[in-house]
Amino acid sequence: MKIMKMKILILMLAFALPYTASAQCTKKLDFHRLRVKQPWAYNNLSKSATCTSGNQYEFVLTLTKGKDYRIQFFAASVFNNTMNFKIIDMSTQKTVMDLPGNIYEPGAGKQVLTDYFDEDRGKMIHPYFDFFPASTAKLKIIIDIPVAKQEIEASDSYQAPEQKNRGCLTVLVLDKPASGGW
Amino acid sequence: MNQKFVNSVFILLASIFILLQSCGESTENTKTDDGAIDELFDDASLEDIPGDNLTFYLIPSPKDMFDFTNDENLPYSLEVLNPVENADKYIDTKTQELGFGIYSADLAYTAAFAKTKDAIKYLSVVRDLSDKIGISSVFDESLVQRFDNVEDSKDSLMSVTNDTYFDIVKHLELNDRKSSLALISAGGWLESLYIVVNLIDEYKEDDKTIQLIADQKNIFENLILYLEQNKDDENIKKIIEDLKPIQKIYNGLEEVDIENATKPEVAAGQIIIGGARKIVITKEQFANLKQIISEIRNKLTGNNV
Repeated sequence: MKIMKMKILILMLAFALPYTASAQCTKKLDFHRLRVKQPWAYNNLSKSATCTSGNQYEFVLTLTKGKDYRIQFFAASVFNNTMNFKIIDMSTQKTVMDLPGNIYEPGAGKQVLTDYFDEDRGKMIHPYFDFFPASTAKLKIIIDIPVAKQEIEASDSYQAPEQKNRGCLTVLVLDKPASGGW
Repeated sequence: MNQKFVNSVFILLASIFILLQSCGESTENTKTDDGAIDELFDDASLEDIPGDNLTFYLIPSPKDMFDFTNDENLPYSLEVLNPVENADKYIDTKTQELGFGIYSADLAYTAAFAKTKDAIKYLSVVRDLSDKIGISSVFDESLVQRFDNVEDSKDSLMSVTNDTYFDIVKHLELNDRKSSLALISAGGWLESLYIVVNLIDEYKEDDKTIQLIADQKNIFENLILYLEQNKDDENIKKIIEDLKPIQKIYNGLEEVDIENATKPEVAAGQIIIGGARKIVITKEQFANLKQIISEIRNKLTGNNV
């Protein structure tokens, strides 16, 4: 009887865990939303999702002509910023961005997740990407999260085991009226 | 032996729970001047949890549709909104959740035109429906007070309305109510488009609002794919069927090359997207779309028009 109760408890917790993770991600989005500064405004196309390494995620969204858009990405530190970001303009099928999350010497337009020091502004900046839709365009954001190899010295006879991590990935979309008008 | 096992499992589960809570609340963050923050939630301990969604179709809120209305000098008309009395007709989950999305769009429309009195009337309906669909906790005292104190300005009203919409989405996601969110999004999109097409009296080929309606083809495609991800739910299956005639019209719209497309002047660092092709809606297609959207919307809202 007791064992049966335990099984039920374990089952309930197993179901509750992903929802707890998902709830944490939703709260992260709220965190970023409340920190948006003028002239930019939070756009409801933003999304925070629970992701697992070893998977490729796609976010499909439409950016409307008449607005300027800014997109930023945030990832749980468990991923160590080791992921790749690609953005495809579906209307032209062109890849408009293809960058890693992190590089050795971060800078504007070079990586997606690592903050860098902006000389002109004299402060640390989180990378951002500005888009101007010359006509309404559908974008596909592809985020590839590789499986991390555990940091164990590899030898010919021993393959380091793969480690799956799980955490939040946030796509933050901001907008403002287009500076050039329609 | 058994007791020992039970105790060990309990301690293990309690530790996982505490770990999750602490990850969410108290991990130290590194914040930059730009407002960026290292994510609070980390969890390296959870492996192979099934059910990860790999593709996310993102649907704009009704506010995005109405952002353009003031620029285009579209009129404000209460006649295009769903009468508040209809709310009493919604007695099952499908109509209540769809109705909630529809009235949320009506609320966003009144806010876009800074019509505070009408907005408060529609907020009241949205609040009543939220109780019926089990999300009344979104409308706490502080939110109601914000509405009461709202100034007669577009920004103020839009800000409260937008925050409300975000809180609703957040609440549904926190409670894993995917199909409710999908139904509400469908209702919101349908009503937004219904309002805009019905504010246009006359079709003009190069009109910005007409182009905005044609461009909704992209958003509608995303909406259908998003609904299909949730079609295990009977109500979602039904709404996909309901929306099929709209799909037929949008599938018939042509995409053409933009003649003499010139590279626009943009700010430094801006990435230009689109610009080579555009979706075209003819006068006849627009008239068809207007008629079909009105039929579907009136059927779903219980309007006998």
